[in-house]
Amino acid sequence: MKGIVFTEFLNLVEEKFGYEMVDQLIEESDLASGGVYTAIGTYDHAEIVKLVTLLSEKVNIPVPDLLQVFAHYFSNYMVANYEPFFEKASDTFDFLSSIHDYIHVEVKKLYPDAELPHFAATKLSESELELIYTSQRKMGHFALGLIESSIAYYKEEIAIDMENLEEDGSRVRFHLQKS
Amino acid sequence: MDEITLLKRRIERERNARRQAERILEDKALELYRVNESLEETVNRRTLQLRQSEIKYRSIIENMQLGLLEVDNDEVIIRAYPLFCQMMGYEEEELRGKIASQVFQISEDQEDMQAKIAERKSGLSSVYELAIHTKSGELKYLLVSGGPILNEHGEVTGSLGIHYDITYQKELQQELEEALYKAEAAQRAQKAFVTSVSHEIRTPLNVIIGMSELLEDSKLSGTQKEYLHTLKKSADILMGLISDVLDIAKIDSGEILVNPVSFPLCELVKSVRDMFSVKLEFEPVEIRLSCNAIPENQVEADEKLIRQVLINLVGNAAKFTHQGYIDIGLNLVDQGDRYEASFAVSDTGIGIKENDLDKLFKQFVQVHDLKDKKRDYGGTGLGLAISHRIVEALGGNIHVSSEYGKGTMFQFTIPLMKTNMPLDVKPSQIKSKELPAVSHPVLIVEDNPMNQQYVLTLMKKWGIPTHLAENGKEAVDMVAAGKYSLVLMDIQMPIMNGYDATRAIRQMGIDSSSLPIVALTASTLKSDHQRAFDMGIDDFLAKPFKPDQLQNLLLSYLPLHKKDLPSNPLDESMLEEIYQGDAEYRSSMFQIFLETVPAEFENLERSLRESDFDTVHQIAHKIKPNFDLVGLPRLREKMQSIELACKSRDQENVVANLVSEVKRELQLSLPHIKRLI
Repeated sequence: MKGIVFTEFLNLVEEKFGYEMVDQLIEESDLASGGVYTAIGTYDHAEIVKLVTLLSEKVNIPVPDLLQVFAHYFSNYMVANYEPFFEKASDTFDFLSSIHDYIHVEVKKLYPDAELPHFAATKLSESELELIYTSQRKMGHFALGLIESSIAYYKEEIAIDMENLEEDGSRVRFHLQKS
Repeated sequence: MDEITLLKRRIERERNARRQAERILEDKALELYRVNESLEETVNRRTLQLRQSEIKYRSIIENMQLGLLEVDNDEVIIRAYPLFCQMMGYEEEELRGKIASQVFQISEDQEDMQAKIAERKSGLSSVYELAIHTKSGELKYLLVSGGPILNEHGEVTGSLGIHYDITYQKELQQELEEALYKAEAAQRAQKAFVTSVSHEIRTPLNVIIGMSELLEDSKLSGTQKEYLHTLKKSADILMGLISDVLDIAKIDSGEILVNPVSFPLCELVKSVRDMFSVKLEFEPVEIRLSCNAIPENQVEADEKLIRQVLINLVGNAAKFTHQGYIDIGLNLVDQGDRYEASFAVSDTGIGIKENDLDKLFKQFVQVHDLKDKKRDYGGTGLGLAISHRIVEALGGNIHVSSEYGKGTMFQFTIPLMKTNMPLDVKPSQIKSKELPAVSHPVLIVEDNPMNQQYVLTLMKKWGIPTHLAENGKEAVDMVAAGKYSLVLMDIQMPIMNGYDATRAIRQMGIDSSSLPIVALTASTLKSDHQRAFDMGIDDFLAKPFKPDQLQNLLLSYLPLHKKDLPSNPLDESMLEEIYQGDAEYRSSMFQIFLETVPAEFENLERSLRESDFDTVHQIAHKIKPNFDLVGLPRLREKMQSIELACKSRDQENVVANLVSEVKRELQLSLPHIKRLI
């Protein structure tokens, strides 16, 4: 997993709970990287799971909620650093539809070792979009947060319906309905 | 927790992270440097390759004497390459921006070019010839290969023409065509001269022969009889020579006209044998015949031509055989729908030296020394050449083998069509009721009183009403005034000849279907026949003709009474199967048939007269299926036979016969087809 996820996550923890919490998570999680992350590095995905799970226990907030909040935070970083990707699309549907065929293609060019989730978008009608998220990382709620942030970016009113296609959360269907 | 410890840990983590990032960045930078190096190298290599390739192709084009010109979609010149400018005598600046067809004065009627330009706009390449003017006004012929120029979206923005100057070749071709035309004209004139002189000689010679015969019947002294015998013999020889010269002239111009008739082959060889038995009656030479043909072996072939070859070969044998025998052999091999006939004439004559054998079939060559004091063999040296050409025209081949001093054997093999047509019908056996009763008389146009008498007698015997015209002018007037079923037209007549009379009749709007015209002519020249067809003559009967030949002709051409149509030739059950009682559908199909097939068939006949067998084949193939749709499967089969026969050139006669059969049957069927519409 790309280092940016770790650094942004730890920034969020520091911002909300102070560096003491960051230190506790790193010290108690027994991480192979020793908790030393740089945005451009690549680290084991299990480490983020450990960190999030531990945080959930400490602050008594469920993991899905944490992921969703983290996604909102992460989106700010994305918009700040990669705004052209957003500007290229005219609205949420357009943007989400471009993830698989455009954004992920570009990401792969920059980071050939990046492991990206699969996002299949199907426009069901002018006002309906179906997104199928497939990833062994099972971070459907992270994806949900990102979708919400996109809607906020384009200032649209869209209802999201989320449904697990696989029980373990490795395949998730999002149904977006413009109001 | 101790804040200092925490801070220390934080600083330590941040430092480690920075080092880690620095290492990653350094690796990335190094990687980028390598990629950049390799990219630069690739770009350099590709640039060099491109430059080399450009130099290569530019030098190819510049050295190829090809003029390149780029124009846009409106023919405006965008770029003229140096060699093109040089070819046309312009500077590039003078051409750029001009409209190509205007500046080069390309005439509008070069439709081909317009079509090609249109094609190119749809993205197609093409090659065509173009006549074009240079700056000095000189006409040049160019071979142009034009292709579209496409922009990055694949749209045609103009075209690039590659021009090759073919003016020299064109001029050469024209000169050659002219030279050929002149040569052919000279040859035609020469041929016409030889033919006319020979004809001119023949007429007085006939008189000499005729008078000699009359003299023979008068009272003559012994010496006078001897003189007369020599006179007549010389006249006969002269006649033979003239015939040979006429024959070879005819053959040389490719005008050997094969006229197949049905006859029993064994009768032919027997009659040749009989003819020579009489001739050799007082010679110590025996004439033998070995023949496996029986009277039932009826064939369809040109009897006159085969007879001519046989007489020639046997005559030769007789000339060079002073004792022993001459053997005439015929071996007929059944090959299904036809026979292969091998004729052999062998003798015990003086033979031919081996190195003379290959000269044998050449014109005007005689292998026996004419200065031979002991014997005068005479002749023109044309006989074997004529025989050779006739056998070839009949689709066969001829060979000779000989042993000097012992004898010679000539062999020729020709394919012959089988036929079932019985020929033992003698004119006397034909009853008048076998000929159709005609509603209008037959017009006989003939100036010669003897010929008039002959035809009129026959017609009277068969109960066919006739009118007589003495020349073409009279015939035209009579056709204009009355109604006739058929015209029998002599060609050579005073006042107006048969060609002009036919043309005049056709110009009155009377076509073949309402009044067929059959020429009675002595000419067997193909070109005469062609001329006659062009004038509107439908068929020929060569003079002199036998009664049955005239009878056959009448059977094909006399129209039947409208009121008593013969039994319906259309296959009713077939029509029922096709149309299942849908009269409207049938009627529309018949209408289409009438609108297309007779016209196409006329085209086919024209192509046949022009010996354009490819077109005959094509048309036959095209209209063949239509005959089924009007219930004439037999004609469809015949068209198929025509198609097949067209493929082998030696079947010209078969094609001609089939075509005239189809024509006859089609004409009989048309009223029935019309009736059903």
